[in-house]
Amino acid sequence: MPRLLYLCENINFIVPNANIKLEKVEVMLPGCESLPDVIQDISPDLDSYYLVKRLPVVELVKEEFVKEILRKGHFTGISVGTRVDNHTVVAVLPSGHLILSVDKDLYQELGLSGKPSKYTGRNATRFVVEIDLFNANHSNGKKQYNRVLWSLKDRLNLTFNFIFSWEPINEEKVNFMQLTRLWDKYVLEDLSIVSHTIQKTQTTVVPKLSHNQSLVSTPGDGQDVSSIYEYIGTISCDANQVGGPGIYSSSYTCPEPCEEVKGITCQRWSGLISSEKIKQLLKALRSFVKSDAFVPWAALTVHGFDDSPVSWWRKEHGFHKNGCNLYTILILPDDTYWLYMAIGTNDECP
Amino acid sequence: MEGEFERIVLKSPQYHYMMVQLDLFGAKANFDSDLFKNLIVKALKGLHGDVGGSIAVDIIRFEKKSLKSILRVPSIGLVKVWSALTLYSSHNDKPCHFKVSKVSPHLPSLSVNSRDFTSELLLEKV
Repeated sequence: MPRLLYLCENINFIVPNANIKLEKVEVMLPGCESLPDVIQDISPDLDSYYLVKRLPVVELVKEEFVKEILRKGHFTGISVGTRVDNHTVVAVLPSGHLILSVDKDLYQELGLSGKPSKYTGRNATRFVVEIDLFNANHSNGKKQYNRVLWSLKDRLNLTFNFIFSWEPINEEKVNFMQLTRLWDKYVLEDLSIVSHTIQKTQTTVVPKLSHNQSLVSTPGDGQDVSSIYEYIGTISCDANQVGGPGIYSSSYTCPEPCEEVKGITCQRWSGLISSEKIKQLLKALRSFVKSDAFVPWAALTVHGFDDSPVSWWRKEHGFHKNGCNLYTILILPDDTYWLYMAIGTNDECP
Repeated sequence: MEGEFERIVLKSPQYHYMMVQLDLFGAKANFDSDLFKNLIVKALKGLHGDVGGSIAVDIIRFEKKSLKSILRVPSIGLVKVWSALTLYSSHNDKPCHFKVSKVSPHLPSLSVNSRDFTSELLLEKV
């Protein structure tokens, strides 16, 4: 049975640096009938990411790639079409770590040292191999480097379809040409971030959150943190059923106390989105909520890939029944935030 | 304005959420959310009796064309609901089955599906 674990923190400042791979970002604004310009201007659909097919994993560990690309920008990549519960998944983090989540047979054939997965019981059937590409021993001529190259190329030539995004530190376009030069045998396809809007333009009720509200609800209080999170989920899933005490199909109603707003806008962007973009969105939402009196709060939800091999703070992530891997930041006008971290069954509590 | 830092960890869910789809094997039927709920209650009563039938299942979202739905189920009744839906096999003497695609204690996680998204990415570019 899927386990519930989520944390809610009440904080005055944010350092979003959770290190999970970001697949979808949602912004929810009650009180707005359309996405405000200040958010539209920094919308992630102006960014793009890339797909490269049948890329050998060995290309990600070569010294030239690490020097010219990884060290000179934020590179994030993950294999696509692979599932963390039964295939091999490869991921590269901006911290310079290459993570391989493999099954037992491949692990034995590969010959690299790794750890058994925490989520497969006593007889481990999955292993996680982590290679630190920024380590001083990972350079030409060293034993570790030669071993890694030999395992990934000569012993087993593993290839994957891979999506990645790369932000050079110095904003020099010439660095991207370095990447196309290094990977000239492979086709790099430019993909754009897909945007989707859910709008409710009629008058709607939303939970009313008071300033300095405690996270711990008092008995008899109709509203607690989990019911607010559930409300965010109903908007995000585009709930279309009207519920109430006398209605047969659903008894769900908005948690009390609640207030009326003109409408709600929920904008979703899908694709490989960088954490820098999340920080920009958060900053823009924060100032927007403070400046607009009709917007009682805003919610920023970030979903990671279900099949990512790592989640919070580079800890192992498994799929179990849903692979959920997301967090929501609820922004209030008095500069406080509620951070909900929804942790899956096969994940560690951060 | 400085407020107190609070951190709470919630481990016992009150509700679980299921994404289900009713497959009628090509037969046409005119369903609305009340009829769909009736079917779920019938499935529960059929396997678990009146006790099963009294489990309060709420329909959060219902799509008439595809017969996909998001249900809210009290966590103590999740196993009963899931088993009843899995074993329900005929409606008005016609074969049918419920496909449970996702179950989670977090409702926002049901709004996205990265496996479908990444497989679409690969299909488009073929």
